Amino acid sequence: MNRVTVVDLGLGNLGSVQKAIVRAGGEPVLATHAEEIARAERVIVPGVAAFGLGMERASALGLRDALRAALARGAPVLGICLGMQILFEEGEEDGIRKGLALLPGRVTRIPDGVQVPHIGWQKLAWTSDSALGQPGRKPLWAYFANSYRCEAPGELTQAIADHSGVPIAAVVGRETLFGVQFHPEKSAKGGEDLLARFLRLPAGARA
Amino acid sequence: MLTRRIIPCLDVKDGRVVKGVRFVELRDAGDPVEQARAYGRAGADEVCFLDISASLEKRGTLVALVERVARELAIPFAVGGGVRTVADAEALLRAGADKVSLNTAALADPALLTGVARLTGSQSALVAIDAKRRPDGSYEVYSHGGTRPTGRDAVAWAREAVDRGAGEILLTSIDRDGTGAGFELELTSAIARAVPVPVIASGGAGTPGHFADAFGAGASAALAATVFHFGSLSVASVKEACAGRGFPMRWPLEDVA
Repeated sequence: MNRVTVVDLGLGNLGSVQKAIVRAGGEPVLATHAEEIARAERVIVPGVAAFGLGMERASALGLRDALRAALARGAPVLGICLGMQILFEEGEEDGIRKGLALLPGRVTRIPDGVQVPHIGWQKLAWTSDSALGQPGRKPLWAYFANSYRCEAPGELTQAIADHSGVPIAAVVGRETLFGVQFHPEKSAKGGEDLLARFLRLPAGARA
Repeated sequence: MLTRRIIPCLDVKDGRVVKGVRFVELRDAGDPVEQARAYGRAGADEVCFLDISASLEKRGTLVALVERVARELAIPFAVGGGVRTVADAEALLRAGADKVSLNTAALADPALLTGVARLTGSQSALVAIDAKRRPDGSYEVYSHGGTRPTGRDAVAWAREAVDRGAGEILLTSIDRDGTGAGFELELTSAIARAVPVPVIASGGAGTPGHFADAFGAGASAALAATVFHFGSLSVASVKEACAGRGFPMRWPLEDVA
């Protein structure tokens, strides 16, 4: 069983994420303390909330140092939706807020002129080979529900969703750190496949 | 490009499905979780639960149900019916609902929408608008399950609701609901043009072509209960027809479910 530590920021229901991990062949373990995250085999940071609230909880937990420790051991880390957004340097929801700054880039509101919130399903287009994608960059159906997007550098962006001409970074990654803007736990077969690939990445070295 | 969504709606009373589709493989056709999962396998993009329980005590069963659905369903779902306060909405969102739908209570206190949007973001705050055509061709909003005229104009209310924080509109035509005569396209189009958020057309679905017509009028999604429950239409047949009319759909089935 591939154990995965799920960061609990106290921001609501983690039942769907936990159950999706089980369906994808993993064993979820909830963590509310930095030490558990720092020594985890692999980590998922879920979250549905505003950027500011998410960062308040992340700071109180000491999430930045915990994730850095996990990454230093080579542990795979996956941020989902808000859990992806807070990996970046800053966000502009409810004023400018500092992020965890584990990835370069900002989180900005989706510009006017397209449907906001960006709610619904679309097929991802892979822009580079990703450890989370199927061979041959096979497109993946993903469910989104977001009003903000990560403006990530091109070299970190592994898949995008084209929202009527506005590119939404759908999968970002660098070494063993990943973020997905959509909800794999709500994305049926495609989401399960992505989670299964994440769970099969080699675990971090023992602490 | 976002695909257009097909959303079956399940009426739930005291924790059980009232009108359920006769999926042959179900062991318990009254179980909302089994019904929702069957819709997911059939290619539904999302499921909507409408709680029609009469008493407040029985409503307690809804939170437990939402928790179970959140664990077992691999597609998003909305919950509505009798949500009166921010605390009601918070309980449902904490239990794992992706969206909470507000109707009568939001008309009485529009700030409720702001409160719900603050909890988890406007994508979770769905405003349900029940509208009926006036003789002059405009549309009036009704509350209390479509029984009480409010004097409010539907387009004006849609705009206000979005300003207050609603991230999506579930728009039901009272005139068309249950008729099978097709969605009210003028209403759909008027609201879709007025707001930047997605509009879910509801009321009147009878044929696969009706769904495509709603998308043509600007709806991002279309919701139906009767045609799916009584098996006169399958989600697959609807998606195939809409894809055939050139609308982007999450399709074909073998790719998605």
